[in-house]
Amino acid sequence: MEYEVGKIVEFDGHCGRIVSSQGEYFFTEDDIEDSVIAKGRCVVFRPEEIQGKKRAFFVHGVEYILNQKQKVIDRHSSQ
Amino acid sequence: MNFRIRLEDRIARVREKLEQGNFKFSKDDLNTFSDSQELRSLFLQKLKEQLPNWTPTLKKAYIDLISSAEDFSLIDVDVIRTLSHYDIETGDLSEIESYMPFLGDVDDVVNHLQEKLKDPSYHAISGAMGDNVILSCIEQGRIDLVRMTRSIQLSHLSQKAIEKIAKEYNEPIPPYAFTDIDAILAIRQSNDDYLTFQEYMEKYPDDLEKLKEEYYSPKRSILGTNLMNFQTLYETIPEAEKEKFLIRTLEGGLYPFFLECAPKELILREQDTIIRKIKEGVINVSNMIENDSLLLENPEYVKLLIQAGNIYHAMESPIISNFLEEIKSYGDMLGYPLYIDIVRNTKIRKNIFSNEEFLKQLLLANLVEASPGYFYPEYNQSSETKEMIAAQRKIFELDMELGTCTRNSLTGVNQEEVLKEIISRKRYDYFLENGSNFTNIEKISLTEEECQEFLDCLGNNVISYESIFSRMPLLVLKTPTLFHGFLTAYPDILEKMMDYIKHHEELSSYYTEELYQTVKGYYIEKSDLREDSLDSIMHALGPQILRYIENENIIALAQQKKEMVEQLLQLFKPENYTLQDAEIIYDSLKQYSYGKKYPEIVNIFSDIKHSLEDNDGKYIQKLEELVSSMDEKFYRRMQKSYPDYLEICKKNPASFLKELAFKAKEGKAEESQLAYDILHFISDYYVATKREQYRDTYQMSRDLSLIQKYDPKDLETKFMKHCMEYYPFRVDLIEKLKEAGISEDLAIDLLQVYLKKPILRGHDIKELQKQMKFFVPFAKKYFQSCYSEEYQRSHAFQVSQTQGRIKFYDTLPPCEIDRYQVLVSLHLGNILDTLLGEENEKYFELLKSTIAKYKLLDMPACYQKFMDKEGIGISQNVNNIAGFISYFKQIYDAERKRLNATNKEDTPVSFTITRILKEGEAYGGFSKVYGHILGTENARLIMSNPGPNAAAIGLSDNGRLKTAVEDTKISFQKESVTIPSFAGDIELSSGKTMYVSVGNATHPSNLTHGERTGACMRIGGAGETLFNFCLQNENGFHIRFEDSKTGEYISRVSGFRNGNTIFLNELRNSVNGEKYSDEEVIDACRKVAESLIERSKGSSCPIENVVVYSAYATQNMPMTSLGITNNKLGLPTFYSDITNSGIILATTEEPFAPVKLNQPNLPHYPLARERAKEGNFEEMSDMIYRVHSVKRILEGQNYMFIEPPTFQDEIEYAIASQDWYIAIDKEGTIYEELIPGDERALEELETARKIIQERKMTPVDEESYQI
Repeated sequence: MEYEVGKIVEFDGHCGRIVSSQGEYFFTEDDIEDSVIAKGRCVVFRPEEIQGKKRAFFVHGVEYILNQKQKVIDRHSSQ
Repeated sequence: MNFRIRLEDRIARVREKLEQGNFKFSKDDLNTFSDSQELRSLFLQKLKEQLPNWTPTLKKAYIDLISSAEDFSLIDVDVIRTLSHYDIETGDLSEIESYMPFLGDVDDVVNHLQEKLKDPSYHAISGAMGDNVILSCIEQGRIDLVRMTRSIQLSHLSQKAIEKIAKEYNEPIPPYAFTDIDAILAIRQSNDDYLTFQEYMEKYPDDLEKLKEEYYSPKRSILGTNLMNFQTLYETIPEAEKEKFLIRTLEGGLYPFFLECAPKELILREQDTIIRKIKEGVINVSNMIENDSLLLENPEYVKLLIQAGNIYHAMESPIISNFLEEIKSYGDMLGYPLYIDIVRNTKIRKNIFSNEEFLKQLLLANLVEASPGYFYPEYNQSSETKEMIAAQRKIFELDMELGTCTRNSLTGVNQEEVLKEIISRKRYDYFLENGSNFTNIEKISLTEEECQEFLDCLGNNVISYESIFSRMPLLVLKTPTLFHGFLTAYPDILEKMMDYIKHHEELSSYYTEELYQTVKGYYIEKSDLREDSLDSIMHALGPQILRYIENENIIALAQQKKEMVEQLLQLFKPENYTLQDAEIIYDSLKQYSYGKKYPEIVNIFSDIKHSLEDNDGKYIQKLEELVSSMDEKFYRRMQKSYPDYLEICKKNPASFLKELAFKAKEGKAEESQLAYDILHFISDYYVATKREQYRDTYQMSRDLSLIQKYDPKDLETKFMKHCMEYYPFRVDLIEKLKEAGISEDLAIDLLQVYLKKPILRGHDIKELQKQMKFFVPFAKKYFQSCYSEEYQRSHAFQVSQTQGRIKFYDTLPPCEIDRYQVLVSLHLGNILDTLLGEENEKYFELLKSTIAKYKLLDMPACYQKFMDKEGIGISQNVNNIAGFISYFKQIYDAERKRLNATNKEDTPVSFTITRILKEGEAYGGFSKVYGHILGTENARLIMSNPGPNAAAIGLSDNGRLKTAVEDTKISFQKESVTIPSFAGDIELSSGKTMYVSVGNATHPSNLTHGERTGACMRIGGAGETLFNFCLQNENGFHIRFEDSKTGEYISRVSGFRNGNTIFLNELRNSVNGEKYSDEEVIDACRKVAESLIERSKGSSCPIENVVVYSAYATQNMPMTSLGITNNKLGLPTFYSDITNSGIILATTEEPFAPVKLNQPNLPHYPLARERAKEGNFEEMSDMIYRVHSVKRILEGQNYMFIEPPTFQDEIEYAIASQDWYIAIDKEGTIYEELIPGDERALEELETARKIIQERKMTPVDEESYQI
């Protein structure tokens, strides 16, 4: 799974920034996959570098990762 | 005022406090202690009198005094011994070590602690400072470890102490004895080679269970811990118990964690608990808090914040910030004296202080406490003045830190600036002491004597610039002059200082040209820049360049030749943005949104056609709508286009339309075509009329929320009149007139005439009117000298009440696009390659004119809200503009291709504002994951949704990408088609060859045929039903034409089979007319048609006709009626242009074989396979990524987080097809993946494996290979 966990430090309804251990990421409302996104939330997202800028895509609430983690563990154990 | 007197005053005040037994000292008091040995002795004496009865206040005073005065005579063994016992009793060990060294023998203290730990109810807080006591307890073996760990909060212990404890414990450790995860972890780490918390939990599941039990146990309060670890623990809690757990953490005081994890509702529900816990002292809110925005609306909570001293955080509460902001805005606008004037004299004051009374009082009280230096005990003014002072406090932000710094350590700093500081302090003092008299405040300054005295006071402690800067950057940066002086005097800290400004938005005014000149040399040398290029950027875009000077784009640009830089900067020229410019963009946005808002109007023709084919009767209502739009203008047009039908139409439009509909449906081919054409013509007029009506509903001012401003001239006139009526201006003006030689009586009457009031002193009106020529300019000039524009504006409300309404006019909000932001967001490499230089002039000039046309970089920030409201899914942000500029050549080329594909070779390329922003977004705004799945070009096309026939309804462009991923999944699930599919080169009559793919389902361009050829057959487009039919139904398919050598996309046609006939919808024009003409495409299509008939011979139901609709490539070829009424008989409903007549491309008998629809026994054929491709990684990566990603999607993985494949070394060579790839890296490692489902794929892969194996056995030397 290619994702990162971070925290939304700024979000005005259109664009925002997420800070994670890897740095600061920009995102727009289009990148949000979850209705509970708000400033201060812990989120999981796909980090990418576009035009030399750090972008966050597919921004989900952190609960998302708990479910996914379980799925991955299941998959690995079945393999 | 004299400083000596002030010091004595202060000493006297502190002495008085001591005498009264009051040990609560402010920072000012502590400074006073520093200045007076006598006071310190007195303090020690008073302290000893109190002992051994320590109190928290007493302890604080003592510790503060030791650290601030640095007077060793204060350290008294007896006093400290009692203090250490007091600390152990109260359980606060956090400072004990700081004074332990002065005790000599610590046995006494350790024994005491040992005794205390035996008491099960004892609970102590330790800090790193208390380590030595703990360690010495352990060393002496006099302490019960389990008990100790239960009694002491370990999170602040040093690693050394933790290791020590761990060592003493040996295995097995009873970690549940701790309540602190960090401590357990640290111990486990010491024993187990550093586990992460996750690993720890997995390794010691029992610990975890016990740990959780501990958390739930109400007997123990939960102690602070590292939030991340706690969060990991939290994730292991079952969902049902999470809430209980959260409340428990809250009870235990783990407040930041609670805020972080608890859902909104729970936070709101638990407000009372939070407040209770803060009051009980379990939750500490005196420091920085995050995530509590919900609670900031609770007055009780805000009150507690203020009480805890967290004033700046409390100010973030909307309750407080609103009224503070208001005060601040008046202060900023008017400057200091006027502000005071207004607060005192106008009704604005009421507005400011109409907020909740108690908060105001609280804020005031706490501000006074926060800065007692400014509020003396004797100060006892009216509450009104107190309010003003509280407000003033915020406005001037004269904080304690600054004051202390000024006093303590200013030697070496520009003395003039220091004096400025002192003066402002003195004025402030004056302001406090003479609360009601502000008029002379500007005159207050230091006397010569005072200056000298103060400078002497500063002493001889020379401190380095660096240490001054790091200790008090705020002071150094207080004014640009001071900052500049510092830079010049001490260049070594240049970078540090520049960095500091960069991180403080409020200091952006420091970026001046002067500063640029001072520091540029440093950066030129550091990054090897060209001075002339850097200067060019600075001159074009201003000294804010200093903020971005280390940005890689700026560096790369400043390394280019000056000519290059100046060419690029032509794009950044500022333009004056007017209301007319706004209107153009507004209109184009409105029109764009029209299609999205009213798809039923825009698509009326296709809806009618659809309905006629389905025979569902819905068209009747639509026809009525068309009738409603017929007016005189329409008939005039009809006269031009269809004169033969004018009369009959005019006579009875409704029955004429019914007749047309009937003919379209039932008539012969030509008749039907003509009827459709006329219906199309009427529909177009209808749409145009509706659009025009829509235009009438425009209201730019409202839609764009434009700002209304006073007309300054009107305001001035009215304000002048207002002033003339009242003292003192009236009297002053008369005085001035008298000085100018006009008698008082005359002056009074002139004023009366000007105010249109009765003449009081009996002058002749004609005489007065003559004098007006002199009077009006005179009065105006005097008026202007008295009242600044700001002052007038601030009084506008008052004036409009007495003098009538002031005129308003619309103004645009300012532009928020920072040119530097655009510059640093550009993809500079691409620009240098594709836009700059002579060879790209064509592109550059068009880009320049496009930017200038819309004044793209000067767009005010008023469109975004409007676009959101109208559902236009685009954003005017800097990224999109930068994206458009960066990829302009690519965007231009794509647009050119598209125009060519719709036979518009002669139409010049141009862009609407919506296209500009969308294209920009498409080139920078989507995840590469879409590129992996759909191919980068396809993803970009879907994202930019280029016209004509762009998707209008429903989906955002991001949503179209998501749908495309779903469609990809579906396309891989399709198993067969009812036409004999094939793919390969065919020879054309012209002698050229063309690659055709007939009936392939999984090629990614199947999803973008519409976008590539300007057609509506795309996701969300008007022809989406046909798109979906071809995707899902075995009777639907695409034929794709490509250049047989390069694989370049040439054209396509989509179609469906019904019975013995294949209906092809629209054969599109050649996208590259230079390579293949439309005739060649038609020829290829005809050959495909013949081949289909040939290949199906002998099957259960052979194909006997292949027909195509007359449009685009075939638009000049006549259609033949096929003698059928519904060519979709037996098929599900979908849209197509081709209905009951068509061009016969191939048939088994002349003119065409009888059409047999809805046949039951159609044969099934496997889908066409594309030919495999080979090449290096760069050429093959798109296909490799696609196979890799699609395989995982089909396995059920969420596409959003699929990782790209990883290879140990660089891929040297690969072979890939639509559903498999095999690749070999430089080390000879082979990688392969296969999407299961098609047996033919396995065979292909097998062959490819052999090729790869051969290659591995005999590594190809590139050079010898070429020879």
